[in-house]
Amino acid sequence: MDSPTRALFGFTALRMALSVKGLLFGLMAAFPWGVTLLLRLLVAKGIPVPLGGITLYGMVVFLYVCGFLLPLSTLFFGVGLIADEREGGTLPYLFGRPVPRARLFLVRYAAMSAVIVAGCWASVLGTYVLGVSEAGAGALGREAGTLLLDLGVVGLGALVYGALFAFLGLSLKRPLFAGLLIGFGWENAVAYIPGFLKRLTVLFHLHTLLPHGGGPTGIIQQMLSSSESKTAALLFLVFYGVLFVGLACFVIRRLEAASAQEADA
Amino acid sequence: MIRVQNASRWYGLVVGINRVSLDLEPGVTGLLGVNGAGKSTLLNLMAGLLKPTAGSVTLDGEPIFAHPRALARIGYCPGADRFWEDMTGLEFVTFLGRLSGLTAAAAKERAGRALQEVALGDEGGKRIRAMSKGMRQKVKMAQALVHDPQILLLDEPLNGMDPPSRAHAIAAIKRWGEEGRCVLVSSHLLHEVEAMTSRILLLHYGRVLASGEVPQVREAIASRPLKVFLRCADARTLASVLIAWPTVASVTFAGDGRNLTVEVSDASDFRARLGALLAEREVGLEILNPLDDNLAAVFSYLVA
Repeated sequence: MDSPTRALFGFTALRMALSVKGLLFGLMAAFPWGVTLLLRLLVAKGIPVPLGGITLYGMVVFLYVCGFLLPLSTLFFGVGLIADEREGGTLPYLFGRPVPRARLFLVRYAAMSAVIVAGCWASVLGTYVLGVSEAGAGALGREAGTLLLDLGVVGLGALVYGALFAFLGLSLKRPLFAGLLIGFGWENAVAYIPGFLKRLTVLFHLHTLLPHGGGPTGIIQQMLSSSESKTAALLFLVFYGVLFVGLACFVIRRLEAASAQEADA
Repeated sequence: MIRVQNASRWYGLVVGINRVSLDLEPGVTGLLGVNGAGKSTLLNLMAGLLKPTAGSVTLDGEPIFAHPRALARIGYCPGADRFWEDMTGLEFVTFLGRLSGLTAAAAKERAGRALQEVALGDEGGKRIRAMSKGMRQKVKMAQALVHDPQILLLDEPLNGMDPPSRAHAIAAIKRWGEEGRCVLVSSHLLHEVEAMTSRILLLHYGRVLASGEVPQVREAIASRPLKVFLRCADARTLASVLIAWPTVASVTFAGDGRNLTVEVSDASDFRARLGALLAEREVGLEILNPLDDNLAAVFSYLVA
């Protein structure tokens, strides 16, 4: 990595992690730990609980991390990746430097992805340790394969959602509204509708890749996962990721740093 | 160097600049115009931040917009007072130096030097949000300078500076011009530009109204009479001679009766005739001062 890349990566990651958004993201990432601890507490006190630690872990990854935390965090960080600089008036400092625009976007996207993946992985890992250990220390080792797959899927989800929302942030004037519609309207509604349309969501393919076959959401999950192979799901996700990153690079090369209002207000 | 050829920039129906052509030469050039004249648009185009709607803006033949090789040679100080507020001045300038390709150590060293150059020095270690307007202006100037660019584009760099800082900044800008850099400084304050340079580019409603050295620009405005101030012992006699010349439009007495203000339609003819008159007879001329050779006069003539 050359000096501009390292500087930009560190700068972007640090600013994201230390921002208000970063703080909220940290709290949301830690939320499942609290829920899992509560479960352990109830179990320890002998209060009957309808689900075990392993099941709870699966639900957290399937519903909370993939269905909520990933889209929400990538939405807020992604749409602001360049738009925040534009709104803050600091974009001329970045665009006025001899860093190719595509590289500028890719480095910032990589930094954002690193922050989100780190947070989501911490959420998954913490929940895994707290939840799965409820079934005995041996369960931690037995379920390690599931954990690794989960981490892989969550990482891939962060990259694809991040690319999608970063592209929206570059292309639209009000990307947050469109992002909310896509992230929590389209994604969550269409991913559960039988037929081809659900393949146009990221969530459907993430669900296909997740290894949690059983559990309380088994019926929905079986319905979803039975309709495509894991290879197809992986290919779809890679395609979406590459497509949105490519489109974002295309858009940023043509993006102007100064708006009409700024230029001669 | 930077060449702007027939460049226009519209924002929808609003004209930013309209068919502007210029070559930015080494030395300091003052970019003048009232608010909304198109100064910032022109600077943004030259800094590669905006694309021209028509025409071209090039650096040694290559388009500047989003072009890293061109951007490496340009230092731009934006007009807007925007920063990453939680950084210190030194961190800010160092970071932007690194984006210009400097190593971490070199960027820090150059940032320190650039902050010294704009007289911020140790105060560069303060958080930007805690800095005064003048200090923030200096940070912006330092970041434009950190990678030692050949071309400096400064958008109203003296805004908010106190008089000593202003004087220091003016001296620094003049020095950068003397070093052979191409410096384009925008301002709507005439005396500021006049203190830095006599070469101007005057924009009005997005068009170049005049460009060149102030006296040349003044002479080019042939339709406007030039005002000349004269002080002599025998002002009445001199006035009676001058008023008979075809190039003299009017003569006005002022002050103690020894001061004359003469309106001249042809400056070179007036100078020749006055030279001949002084050689021919003694009129006790003490002061001869063209009143309209300054920027304010040029500006008011052209913009009024």
